Amino acid sequence: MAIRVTLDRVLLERRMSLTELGDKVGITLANLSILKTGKAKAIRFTTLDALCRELQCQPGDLLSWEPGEIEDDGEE
Amino acid sequence: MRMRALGRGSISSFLKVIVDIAWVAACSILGFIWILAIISVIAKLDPASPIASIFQRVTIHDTGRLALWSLLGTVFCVGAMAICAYLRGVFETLVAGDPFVPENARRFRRIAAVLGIMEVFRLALSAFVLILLALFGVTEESAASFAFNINLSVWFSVLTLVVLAQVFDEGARMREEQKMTI
Repeated sequence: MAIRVTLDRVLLERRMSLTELGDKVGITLANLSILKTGKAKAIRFTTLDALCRELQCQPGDLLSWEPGEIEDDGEE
Repeated sequence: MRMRALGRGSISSFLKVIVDIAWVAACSILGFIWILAIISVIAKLDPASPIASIFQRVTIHDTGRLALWSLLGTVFCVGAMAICAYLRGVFETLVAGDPFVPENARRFRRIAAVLGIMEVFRLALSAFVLILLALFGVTEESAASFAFNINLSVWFSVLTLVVLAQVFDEGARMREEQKMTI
């Protein structure tokens, strides 16, 4: 996807594990993994707000845009 | 009182039972047609056989009529069984409360295809029989039973099913997107 989630980098900088973040923001580990691996199709503002609050960062620190096609992995 | 369309005890579960009964009925009719065809063939090959005398009233003596009705019956019963099987799958997802799955779109497309094939087959057979009747003598009764009429309601159903398949495709896509929204 053209939008890349840089959650792993922010977590590394904060020396925080995914489980720890999940406990703090109330998101399951499975959903955080989907987000971290870039498989998520969309992110809610409430989720983004919770992540920014706990990681003390801006949305731009978690997301970046790279030129390229948006992959459509929809089934036929 | 508002009737529920999804879940256990809803209209869908009632319709699923109806479809199951229709499938069994189509299966039974197909079996009956083939038993009748076999008996008729035996009676034709050996008119002195006990089977011929026992089933004298139900056997079809005219070979052309026998072949025609066996073929017509088989195609329609197999078609009805296929449609019932696909509908059963759709109603199962409705009972489970999760109708927007990609399989349902495929099922609706297949039902449309089966309906279309059955109708084309009926039209082709009607045309074929009418040509034969024209060549070898027409009686009013036989011509009336094979009248070449286009059934618009069938084609309307086929088109509706194609549209419905696309609606379910879109529903499945939205459901997938919703599932992957964090």
